[in-house]
Amino acid sequence: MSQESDSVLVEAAVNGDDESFTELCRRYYPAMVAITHSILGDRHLAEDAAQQAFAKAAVQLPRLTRKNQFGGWIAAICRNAARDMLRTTKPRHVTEEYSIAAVESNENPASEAVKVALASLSASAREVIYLRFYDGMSYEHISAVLGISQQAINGRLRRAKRKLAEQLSRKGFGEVRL
Amino acid sequence: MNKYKDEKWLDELISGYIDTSEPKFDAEKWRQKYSWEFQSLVDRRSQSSPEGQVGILSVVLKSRVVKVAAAVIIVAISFFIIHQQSSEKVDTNAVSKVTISPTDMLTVASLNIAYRKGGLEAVEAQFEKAHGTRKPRATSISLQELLN
Repeated sequence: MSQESDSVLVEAAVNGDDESFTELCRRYYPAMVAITHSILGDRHLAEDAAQQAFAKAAVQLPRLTRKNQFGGWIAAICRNAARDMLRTTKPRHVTEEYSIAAVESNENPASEAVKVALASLSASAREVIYLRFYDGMSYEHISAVLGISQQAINGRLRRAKRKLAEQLSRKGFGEVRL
Repeated sequence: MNKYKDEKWLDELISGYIDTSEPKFDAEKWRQKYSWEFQSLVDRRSQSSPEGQVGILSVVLKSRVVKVAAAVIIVAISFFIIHQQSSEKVDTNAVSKVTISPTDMLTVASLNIAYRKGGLEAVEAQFEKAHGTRKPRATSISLQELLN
């Protein structure tokens, strides 16, 4: 089952095969949590939003015309679900769409610095950082989810990390080589 | 050269912040939490066609090649039918002309057709018929003279 292509699984799920849909969920759940986490800044909320997105997808799946683009389609639903959740939960501190609710918590200074640095990134740059760092997700999988080339992902990731490194080094972290 | 080329420290900082343990999808829990959505997914099973049986219409609609082939066949059949009808029309007119007008009955084409149908007897009969409709009848002219 796990070797079946997305389009085969989607076709079966459209015809009511719940096992195929569950396989799609298993396949994309980590990436979807990474995406929602990059928006919400909270792992538990991120998992809730991703599950909610899969529920919407279960109903709307027959509308998906390009069966081989399930990854990009579910990612779009996830982003919307996370943004809706962000509006309704109203976290204490929000920078753009990103919650930095735990900045004032008892986390260590490095974590706080990373959190603030991540909050300063654009939504798409932050998304690619989360996708890459969630269990070392492959470029191939990220490419399937974001619908862009692996080269583009590499470029986006490099720029995001450079920006993070600049911010963190200003705060005294890292090994800056001159 | 990029001064942040050695990104190990950065990767460690990011990994330390982001909970990178892979989230696992709990299918059973999800089904219970979103029972209505799950049921609507399962309900589609009864709406779809049985496994292995695929409707002809769905096959035709899915394949572009089949669509084009079907269109070509339809156009070809239509063209054939129209062509047949028009040629039949011409033949009917020709026959009616032969049977109506004595002059037309005596044309080479009409006589040729008559000969093919019934030999010299049919030709003679056609002459008789043509002459029968002509008034006044020329009694002094023989068949041989008429043909010359």
